[in-house]
Amino acid sequence: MKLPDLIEMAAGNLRNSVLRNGLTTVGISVGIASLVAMLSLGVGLQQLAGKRLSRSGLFDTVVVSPWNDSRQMARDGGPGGPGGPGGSSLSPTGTPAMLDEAARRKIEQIPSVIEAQPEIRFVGEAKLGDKSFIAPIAGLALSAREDEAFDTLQGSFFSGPQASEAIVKLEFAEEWDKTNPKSILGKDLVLRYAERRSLEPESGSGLSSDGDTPDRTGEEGYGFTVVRRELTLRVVGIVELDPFGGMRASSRARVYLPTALVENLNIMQSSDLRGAVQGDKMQKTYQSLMARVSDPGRVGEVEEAIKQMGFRTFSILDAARSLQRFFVILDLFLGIFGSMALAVASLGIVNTLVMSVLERRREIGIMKALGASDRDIRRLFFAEAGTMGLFGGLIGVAIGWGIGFAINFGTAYYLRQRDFPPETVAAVPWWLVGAAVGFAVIVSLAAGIYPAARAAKLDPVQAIRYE
Amino acid sequence: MAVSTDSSIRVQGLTRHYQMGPEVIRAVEDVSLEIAAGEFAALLGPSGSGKSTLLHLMAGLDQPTAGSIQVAGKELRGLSSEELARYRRHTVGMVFQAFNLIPSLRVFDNVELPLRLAEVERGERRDRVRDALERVGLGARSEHRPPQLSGGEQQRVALARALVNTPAVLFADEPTGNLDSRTGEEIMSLIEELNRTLGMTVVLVTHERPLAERFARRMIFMADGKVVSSATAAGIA
Repeated sequence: MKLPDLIEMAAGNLRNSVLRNGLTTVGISVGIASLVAMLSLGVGLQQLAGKRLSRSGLFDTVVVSPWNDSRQMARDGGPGGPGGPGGSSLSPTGTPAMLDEAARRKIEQIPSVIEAQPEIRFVGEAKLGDKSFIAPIAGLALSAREDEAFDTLQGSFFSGPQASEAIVKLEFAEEWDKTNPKSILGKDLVLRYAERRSLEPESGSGLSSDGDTPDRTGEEGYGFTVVRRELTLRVVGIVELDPFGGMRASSRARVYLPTALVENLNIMQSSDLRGAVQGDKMQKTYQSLMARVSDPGRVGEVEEAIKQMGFRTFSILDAARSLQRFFVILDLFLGIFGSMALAVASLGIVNTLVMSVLERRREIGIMKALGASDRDIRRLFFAEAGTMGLFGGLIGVAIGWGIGFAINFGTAYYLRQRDFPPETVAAVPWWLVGAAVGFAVIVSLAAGIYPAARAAKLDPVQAIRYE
Repeated sequence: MAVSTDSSIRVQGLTRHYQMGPEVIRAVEDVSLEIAAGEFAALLGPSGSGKSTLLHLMAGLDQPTAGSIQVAGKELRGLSSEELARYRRHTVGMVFQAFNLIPSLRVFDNVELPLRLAEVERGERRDRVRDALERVGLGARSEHRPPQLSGGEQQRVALARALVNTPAVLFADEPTGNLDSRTGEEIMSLIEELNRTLGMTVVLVTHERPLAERFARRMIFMADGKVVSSATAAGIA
């Protein structure tokens, strides 16, 4: 029999005992609904956690720092440690790599690295009107806009990477004006900072005429001087929470400037002193760089690539991994519980179809006498089972989506009551819709195997014997 | 409507035994007979004589224990169930005592069923179903459902269903058994007409000898699973 005829006949047969088949279909849809509701909760919670975590900048960030950091040296074995004095300060490849501009560009060229931003923080003096504050100040990349700390930003974010603008912490604004901290917005803030200005090598140094030190290079005589500078910035925003969940050095600052702007200011940093005696030239070096990775799943390979370049890396990758494992297990259990109802429903299909075979014994016999093959009969019953599965699946997904919607609605209401922003805790992505309907059809077809085989095996002579 | 040319039936040493508990039922025992193409043969005998079993074997609904059956030049013994189904679809038409229409389907759909199984194109199906219903005089009842029809009308529908595939052989198993004598005669006349006009070989199973004598050109008598005698309409051989 051709497929359209088969479906037409199956639909006709289903219509003939519409109540029983309808109830069976409802059974499947309840099973699918419970599965979809459970999994939508799992998926929703995973998305929620994933969104939170990825926005926290913890899981997609690799902190890059040079190996030759004196503090690391002490921590990683230090003098007297296995590698001898300073042994572990060397990178695994043996070359102490400088975390300089070239290294930064190289890191940014690693596929799936979005950006590598320096963490710049320094202490400066901020003057606002007649008040002045000594405050920790930090650079913020424009990409930090997506951090959830800025969800509740008052005013606006930096208008551009070089904008002479500042965002202040709420506590800073309150210090300035206890009663009306918002009045700080639009005010001009004069920032006083220490600029590091490079010096040209002294004349006569470098490759000196001193014959007794032939290995002297042109590195001598370089240096820098520290100059006080002032910069006027407009206060554009007030932020209440620490950016990046307070997990980074820069998040504990009280005044924020665009990173690109700060970089151009050549502000004196503590690492500069070490830099003065290290490296080939008086190059600017970074204490650390924050490499943002496009996909948290690729943090591992990015870390590996950066390590190959001779730097130390740090990420919370392992924490992310165990979190993923947790959600896989959660989804599994939710899926198992959700499937229980479907398992019961599949027994309903078996029951309905077996009843149908008994009732339609004669009809099956007639069809076989008229030339229907075993295969035709089997396919007819599969078509009936599949049709019930398809409709049950579609209705079930709709109900499951409704349950998810209700969960979201209830959660949002509960959160609003407690002054929290609403959250999506149940999500029904398209793959779940497709998978649930597909699963319903497959389970129904599996449930149809026994009844269909029974129908196909019917002996036509027995079935049409006059009763 | 045309019928394939070779529609003869050759049965050789045909045996069908059933196992019923410890007992072996010998429903058909070493039957050999030949029915020529276009012949109208009646199988007569008391109930339990094996005539229905023989009919089922010839119609490809059952498989013999031994012996051979050739219908339209095709050996049925040893065919797979799929091949037997194809044989029933294309070579055989059947009518039963109990009509065996599907009550939930309209008359039209009942007659269309063999064409659906034979995967005939939809447009052609419509024409052939109409033709077949016209031929049995039920052109106007195609939208009805079988329970809305009288016994005679239902058997006509069954006849239309049996001939819609233009089979070579029509097997009729007590087609008048559920009908009053007048209606039964009408049905028999219709079968005879199909035999005459379409050249369809007809094998009729009945226990009503007068009916067989009136319509069949040959009578085959069975008892205890065996053919006991064979006669033409002119007289017992």
